[in-house]
Amino acid sequence: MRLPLWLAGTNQRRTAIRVAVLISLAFVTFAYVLLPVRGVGPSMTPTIQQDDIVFVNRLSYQLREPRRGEVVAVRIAGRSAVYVKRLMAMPGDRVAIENGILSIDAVPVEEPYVVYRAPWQLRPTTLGPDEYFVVGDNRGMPMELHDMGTTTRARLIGPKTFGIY
Amino acid sequence: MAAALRPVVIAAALAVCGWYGWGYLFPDDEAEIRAVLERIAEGVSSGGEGGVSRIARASALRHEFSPQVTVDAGAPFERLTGRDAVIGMAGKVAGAAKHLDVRLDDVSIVLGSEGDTADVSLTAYAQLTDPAGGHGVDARELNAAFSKTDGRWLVRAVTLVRAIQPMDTR
Repeated sequence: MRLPLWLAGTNQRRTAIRVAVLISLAFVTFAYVLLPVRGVGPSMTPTIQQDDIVFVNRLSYQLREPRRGEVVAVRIAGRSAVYVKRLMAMPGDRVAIENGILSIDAVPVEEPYVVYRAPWQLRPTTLGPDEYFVVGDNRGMPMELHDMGTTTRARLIGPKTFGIY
Repeated sequence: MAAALRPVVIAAALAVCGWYGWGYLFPDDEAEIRAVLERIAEGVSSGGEGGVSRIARASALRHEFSPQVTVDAGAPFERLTGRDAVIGMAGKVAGAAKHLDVRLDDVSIVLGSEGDTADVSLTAYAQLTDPAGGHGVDARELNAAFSKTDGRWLVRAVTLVRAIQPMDTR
């Protein structure tokens, strides 16, 4: 079958090679580098809304350690079931929430991305050697309905790189 | 040359058939546990069949669980104790869905030193279509404890592996 000129170009063999390379690149990118995640639920509002798509870089944490304040993907199960949360405290940090204000080592953290804030309370806790504290940006929802707490390094897949909102 | 090779080829083919035949007739513990998991996934799944066949399928799960089994699969499911409670919940979940496809993947089995217990970690995937046509997917990591009773591997406990551990509030 001959493809139309506008699609195949003047050299169909070269076009076929380009298409194959593009398909291979897309496969490698989405299988091993970028993990697309669709926003489900209100816990990261307003940073990530329902049905927003964010892309997580799977390679980042192979090359460097996670950083406080990053939006990260936390593996729930399998390869692609994840939570998206903000990483707020690292191993050894003493984390607490007092009337909705999060503090690390008794110093309140400035969080411009938190727009909604309810008077949450979290007892001061020192994180263990492999404990990372993650929480969503929507602090206005009832605390008992919000999945937050500690996770392990092995469950941190990578940081959000960009999103489609 | 071809004639000389024929006995070798036949012997190799017989060896392969024997290997698979032996594994089929006398499955090892890991294969038996995987078969239990497959039957559970099949029993919990439903494809829009009628109530009677759905209940029959869920009831067949009776043979896969110990009578005192405990299941804590996380919200929205309550913690279940006892085989009847588990079968009742399986029937209820399947009945609430128009179509439910459950897969148990990433299975990793560690047999106990005595050979009569096993710890299994796995990922449960569920794809659900509700009667209104809405779609939902769920995935959760689970640990399952098995024990061998009268030659059969039975599920003794199922617990959810939480990706995020809740912390003390006040």
